Amino acid sequence: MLRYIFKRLVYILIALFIIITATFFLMKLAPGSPFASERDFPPQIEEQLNAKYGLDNPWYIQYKDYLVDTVSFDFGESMKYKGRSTNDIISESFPISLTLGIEAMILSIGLGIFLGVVAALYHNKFPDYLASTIAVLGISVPSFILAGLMQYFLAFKLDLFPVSGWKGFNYSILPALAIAITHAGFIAKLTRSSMLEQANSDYVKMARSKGLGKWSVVIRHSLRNALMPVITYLGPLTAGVVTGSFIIEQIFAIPGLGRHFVTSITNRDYTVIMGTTVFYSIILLFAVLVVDILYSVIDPRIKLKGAKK
Amino acid sequence: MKKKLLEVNDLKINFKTYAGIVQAVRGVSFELFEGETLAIVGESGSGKSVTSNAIMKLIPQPPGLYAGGEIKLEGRNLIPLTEKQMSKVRGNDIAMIFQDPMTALNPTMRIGRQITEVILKHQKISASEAKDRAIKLLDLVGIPMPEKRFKQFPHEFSGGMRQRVVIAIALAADPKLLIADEPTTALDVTIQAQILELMKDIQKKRGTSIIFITHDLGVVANVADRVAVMYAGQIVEYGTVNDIFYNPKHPYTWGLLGSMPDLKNNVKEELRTIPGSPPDLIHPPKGDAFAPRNEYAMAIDYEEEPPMFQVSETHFAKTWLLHPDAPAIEVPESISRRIEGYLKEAQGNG
Repeated sequence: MLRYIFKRLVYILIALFIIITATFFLMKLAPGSPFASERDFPPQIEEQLNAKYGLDNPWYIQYKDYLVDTVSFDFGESMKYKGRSTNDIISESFPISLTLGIEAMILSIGLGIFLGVVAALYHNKFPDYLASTIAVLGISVPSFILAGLMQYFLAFKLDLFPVSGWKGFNYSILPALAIAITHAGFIAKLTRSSMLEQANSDYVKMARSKGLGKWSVVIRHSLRNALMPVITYLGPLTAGVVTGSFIIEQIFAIPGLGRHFVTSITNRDYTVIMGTTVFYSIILLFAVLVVDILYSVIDPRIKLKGAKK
Repeated sequence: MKKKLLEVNDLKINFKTYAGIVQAVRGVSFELFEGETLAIVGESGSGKSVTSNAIMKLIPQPPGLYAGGEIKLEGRNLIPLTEKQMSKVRGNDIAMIFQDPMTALNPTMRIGRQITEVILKHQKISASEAKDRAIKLLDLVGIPMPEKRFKQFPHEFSGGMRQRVVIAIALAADPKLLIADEPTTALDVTIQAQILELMKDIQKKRGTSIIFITHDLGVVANVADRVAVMYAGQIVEYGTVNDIFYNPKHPYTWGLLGSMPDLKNNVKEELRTIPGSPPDLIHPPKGDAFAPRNEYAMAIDYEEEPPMFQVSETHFAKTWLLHPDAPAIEVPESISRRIEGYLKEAQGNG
C-alpha cells in the first residue's frame, strides 16, 4: 500500500510539472499584461514594473523562476493587488471555499445516494418517479438559476436563510445546496441504476433468502456493491465542486478562492494564476488518488498495483 | 409414519410480461415428509426454479403473481403471509442453496459475517456465540482452517469451497427444509460428487428435508427418495426413485432417461434427444402440453389434458397412455435395456 502511494505521488509530481509548464506557456501566449488595465503610463514606468516582477527576462529565465517558486511553494507577490502575496490570498480565501466545497460534497453524496436508493427500492412506483424527477431537474437546471430561485424564494420571500454573505454556517446552506443539487442528481441516477442491477444479482436474492428485512439487505448487501460507480464519480465531483463554486461564490458574494481563480486570468495576474492553478491541481490530483484508494477499501477484490498485503 | 413437512397444492404462478401472461407454474402439487429428499427434474423453462422460489416467496410481485393454490409448511399456508412474517420463515424454517456459488456470496463481505448474520437474525444469541457456531458450521461443511477462513472474502475461495460456504449459510439457522436449486450445475464433476456427498451426510446428521432441483437425472438417482418430473409448468410424473427409474410411465420421462449418456448398459445407439422445444407458456397448448414432441401422441392428446393416473400407491403419471382404453405401448427398447441394467446393478449392490 505504501509503495503504491509513493508511486502515485511520483506520478502526481510529473502531472504537476506538465500542468505548470502548460499553464506558463498559455499564460505567455495570451496577449496583454498585468498592467494593461491601468491608466496609460509612460513606457519608463512600465519598464520599471516589468523589471520589478522579472517580466523583462527572457522566457526561459521566467520559466525557471516560476518552477523555483512552485517548488518552494512561494508564488510571490500578486501583480494586481500590491503588497499581497499569492500565498496570503490562497490561505485567506481557501478555507472558505473548502468549507463550502465539503458541505456541497456531503450534501450531494448524501442526497444523491438517498434518492437513488429510494428510487431503486420502489422501482416503477410513485417514490421512484418522484426521486427520478428531482434528479433530472437537478441535472438539467443550471446551478446559477437554482441559486437565484433559492435566493428569491427561500431567502428573500420566506426569510429562512440569509440572502448572501459569509458570516456563519447559516450563510453556507443555500450556496452549498446550489452546488450540490446538480451532482446529487447525477449520483442519484448512478445509484439507482446500479442498485437495480444489484437487486437482480444472486447474492441479494441469497440475502433475502436468509430472512433479512428489506432495509438490512440494502444497507448491508446491495448498497456497498452499488457504490462503485458513485466512487468513480467522486473525482469529477471534486473538480465540479471546486470549479463550479466560482459562479456560486459570485452570486452569494462569498469571498472564496474561486473568484481569484477566475479574475486572476482576466487580470493577467501571473503569480496568482500560477498559484491558484497549482493549488487546485494538487487538490484534484489528490482527490483522484483518494478515489483509487477508496476502490480497494470498498471492494476487497480490487488490489492496488504494487500494493503488498 | 413420518410427519408431513411441506404440502404444495395446485400451485399456480403467473408472470406478467409485455407479450402477455406467462403461466410458468400450472397447478403443481406435491408433498414432502421430514428427512426426505424430493428431486424436481425437468428441462430449462419447465418451472422447477419458479416452483422452488415460490416456496420461499422470493418471486418478485409484480411481475410475478400467485394465481392460486397453497403452500403449507407444517400446516401453515405461506401464501397469505406478509413480507415481515415471511422473513421469519426464510432462513429459519426454509433455506436455499443457489446454483452458482460464484455469484451467490456478497463479494464485499467477509464469509464469517455472511454466516453469522443469519444466526443473529433468527436466534437470540451473542455475537461471539454466533461466531463459534459459524466456525463449527464451516468445519461441518468441510472447510479446512475455519478460524482463518472465517475472516476471508469470497474471492479467496475456490468454486467448490464457496458452495460449501453457501451450504453452511443455508444450514446456519438449522432449517427444517433445504431447497437446493441446481447446486452442482456450476461445479466440475469431481466437486459435484463431493457436494452431493456432503448434502447427504448433512441430511443424515440433521434430518433436514431437501428439495433438490436439477436437470441431471444421474444426480437424482444418487440423492433423491422421490422424484417429480416437471414439464411446461406441471408435474407429469411423480413417484419414488425406483418408480421413476425402473418403471417410468410418461413418454417425457422416457425421453429424459434416453438422453442420459449410459456407458454401462450396452446401449449402442446414438444419444437420444427429445425433438422440438417446450411450448410457449403464454398460450399453453390445448390438451397435453407434451403432445407435439411425443412420438406416442394420440388424437386425444391434442384435445384434452390428461389427468394424473395412479400407477401404484406412490407412483403417478399424467399421460393418456395410462387410460384403460389406450393402446398398450411398451417402453422403448433402448430404455428397457437401461432399466434392466439399473436393476441388475441395484441387485449387485444388494
